[in-house]
Amino acid sequence: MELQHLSVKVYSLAPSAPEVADAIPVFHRWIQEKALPGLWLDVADYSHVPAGPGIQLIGHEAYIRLEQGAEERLGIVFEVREIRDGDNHARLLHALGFAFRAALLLSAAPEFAGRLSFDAGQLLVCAGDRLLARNNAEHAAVFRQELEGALKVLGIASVETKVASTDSRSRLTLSVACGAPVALDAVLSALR
Amino acid sequence: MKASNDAWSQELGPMIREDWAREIDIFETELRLRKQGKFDEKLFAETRLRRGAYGQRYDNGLRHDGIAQQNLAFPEAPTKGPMTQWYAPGMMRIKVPYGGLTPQQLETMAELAEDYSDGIAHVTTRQDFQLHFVLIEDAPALMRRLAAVGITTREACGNSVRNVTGCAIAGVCREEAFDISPYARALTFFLLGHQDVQDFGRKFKISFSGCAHNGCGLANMHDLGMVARTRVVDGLTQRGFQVFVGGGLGAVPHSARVLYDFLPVEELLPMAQAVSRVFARLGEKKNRARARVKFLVAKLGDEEFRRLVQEERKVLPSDPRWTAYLTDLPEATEEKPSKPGSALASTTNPEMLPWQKSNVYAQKQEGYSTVTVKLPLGDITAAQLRALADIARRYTPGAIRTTVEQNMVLRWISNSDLPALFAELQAAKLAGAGAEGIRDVVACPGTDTCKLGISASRGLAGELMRRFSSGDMAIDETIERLKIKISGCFNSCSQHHLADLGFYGVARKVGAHTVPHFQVVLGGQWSENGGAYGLPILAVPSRRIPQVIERIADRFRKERQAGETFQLFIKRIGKVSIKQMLDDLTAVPEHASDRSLYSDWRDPREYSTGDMGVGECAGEVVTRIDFDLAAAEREVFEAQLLLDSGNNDAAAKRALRAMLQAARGLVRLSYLDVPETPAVIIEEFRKRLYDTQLFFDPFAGGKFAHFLFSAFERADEPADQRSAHHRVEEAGLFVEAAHACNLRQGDRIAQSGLAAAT
Repeated sequence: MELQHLSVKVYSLAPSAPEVADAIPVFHRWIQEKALPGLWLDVADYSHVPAGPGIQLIGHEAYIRLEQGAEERLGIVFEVREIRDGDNHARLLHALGFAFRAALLLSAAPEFAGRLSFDAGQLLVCAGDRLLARNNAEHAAVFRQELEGALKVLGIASVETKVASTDSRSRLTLSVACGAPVALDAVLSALR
Repeated sequence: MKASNDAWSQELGPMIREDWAREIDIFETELRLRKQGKFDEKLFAETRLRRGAYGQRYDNGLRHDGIAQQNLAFPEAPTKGPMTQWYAPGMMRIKVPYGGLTPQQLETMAELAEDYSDGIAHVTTRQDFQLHFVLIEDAPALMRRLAAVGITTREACGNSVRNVTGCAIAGVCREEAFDISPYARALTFFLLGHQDVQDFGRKFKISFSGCAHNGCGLANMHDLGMVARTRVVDGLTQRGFQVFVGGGLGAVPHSARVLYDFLPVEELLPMAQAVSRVFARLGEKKNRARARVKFLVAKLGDEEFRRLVQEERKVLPSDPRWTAYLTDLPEATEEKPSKPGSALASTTNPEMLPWQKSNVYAQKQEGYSTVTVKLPLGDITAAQLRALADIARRYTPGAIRTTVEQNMVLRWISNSDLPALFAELQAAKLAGAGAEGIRDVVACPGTDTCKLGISASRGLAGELMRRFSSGDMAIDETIERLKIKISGCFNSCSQHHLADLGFYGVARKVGAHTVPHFQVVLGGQWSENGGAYGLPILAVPSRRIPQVIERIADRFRKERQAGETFQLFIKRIGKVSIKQMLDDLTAVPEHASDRSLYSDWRDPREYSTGDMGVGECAGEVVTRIDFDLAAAEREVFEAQLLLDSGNNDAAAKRALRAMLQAARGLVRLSYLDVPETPAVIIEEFRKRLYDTQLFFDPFAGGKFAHFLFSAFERADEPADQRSAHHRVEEAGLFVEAAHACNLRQGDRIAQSGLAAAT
């Protein structure tokens, strides 16, 4: 099993969700200010689509989006578009790290002042490519092991990981839940 | 490229039609050659367009970030067309003939949206799907996955026959003459890849309507529009079409003219072929702005165009496909319901009532309904596509269609299933009421992704939908069925000319700054197949368009006479009066005092037209001989690959095929219908190009032609490495000589034209 095109969704802690459309000026500013590494191209607005991908920052190497998504739970998503070198462990650390950094940056934006925060212990991680990582029990077991290993490096232990959907049409995706909220600062310092 | 690109090829190989598989292989080879700089840029642009791979905004590598124009630092690579960066994401257009889809195809669309796009599939106003932000190197895998479920992207863009559209309720409509579906399908696949549609100066759009008075097929705005009708001859009911030609919207809208008042169905395919030939032969090729068939019809006049089509029809080589599909045509409709029809149970669900009123259509078959699934701005998520596939399997015989108003319909719902179906649509967030009315705003991609977009059509549409659903803009029975259609520019991709309230994007200079505006278009008629085109009355800043709608709607509410349609109301009160009512909205405050009008909806950047690029809807002017010679070159390249892999016999055969391809291309310049039989190609090549010495090189004479003759004579001899190598080398030289011959022919024509002019 190979993990390419991973995506990581970090769920929001906010009890009352702010409007995803508030991310539009933030993402445009990130492009202007080159706030994140990589080539960022444009902002796509899907706020009119219920349970959709919300507001997306379109990049050459990745997408970032603030969405409710199919599970109708607010979160920020980092999805890898490019083929990355390195093993599964390195790719997972890269995707998780980028998602946490983006989450921290978004929660600090004045448009969301005090209204948006994220829990690094509540995640949805998708293995990406359907053929390289199939949604079956065998690949799910390998993926779980790889993901838990990567989370451990970041200090996120004693997690409960579950296959999000056994529908073979869906991509292999694991939900991650910790008993207590995990601060973004803490996991990011583990990455440094 | 995705790591699994090759893996998809292996995974799906047996599931793909052989000819489609070969086409995709060819495209993949062309892609590889272009990336190596061995394939002409313009030719690649047109060939990818004819595979549905379209450009997208910012693909020239420039983007205005609201402060200044920035260079987008894509990795270095050859372009994929003039001023089009290789790694810039593009759009993939997927043809859906007459909108017909199966649940399995919806599931594939869901996968593709997740794997290659941004999670969204978009339904267009011509019943296509579009995926955005697709990388060109992912296109072959994407195409293979579509082909495996019976969908081709061939000729979805470019100067050829685009998706054939058709009434989404064909076969179940209470007012249709007959079900147009089998005819639309037959014409689609007859013209797909047909040699007579490869040499157009511009795109060519075809539609089918089941009746004359609704708007489902919009025959009036198509290059070729068919409206079903019947007549009784000797006591027998005969099926046929009223045929319209030369319609079109865009910057210069034309209403279609009647080509045939009644064309028997047996003549449908040959008529379309004859029209194609006339358009290919006489249509404008140089001036792209006047290259659509509407200009040719206008120039020649109806009678002369009809005469030319009839003359062409007489000389067409007979084709068994013209009528083969008619032998087992179903009496009524080919879809068989999965459940018995039933009575409609009365509902107590208050949420269901408005949905039932606006989204449910009673079919002509008693006990059944067709349900419109309203898609906001034509967008649907991968999860929703899968949910819809499940719903279609549960409640219908797998009968789904996309519509020209960017929605989908589910057909053959047994009426007693409606409450359960509604509940499932609600769970999937697909139960929005108000389909095809004022809440269901239609918009083209505009400045979101289109290179031609001037104003934010989707941004404005999204804002209007938000106001309608939140109650910020009141809707009552007077206005709830009005249609709003918004285009980002004058090209009318949203079909704004046919809306009650149409808008298209324009820009206005105010001092040193630019302000996004929309022209307000009134007087359009959706019914009667797009019976009348609206006209622009004034341009209003984009941010004030909601006020425009409120004012016009209020006045309609207050002054409407009993039974008066919106179109008649506009006609009665007059556009001058409406313009006066809106004039104050056109005043723009100076930038220094109020900047609110200097940016567009859902886009905080200071507005600029600097992001516009060169559109690709006009494609590249590439003649058929260019395609033939490029195909021959590709065959030479493939012969080299076979040679490298030690497959000598196959390499020699492929080299001969390359030469035959080039020879046939040259022959077709004077003999359009030359068959593909090698012996006939050789004979015609010898007669037309060798005996006349047209193929002779100024220095080498007929030497290169002998490579072809000799290879053909030895076609059945086994080849070893050495002889295969020679054959491949000779094929390369022959194709080069064919190029040179084509250039000399062009020069000769140019010189004779020059001589004639002096």
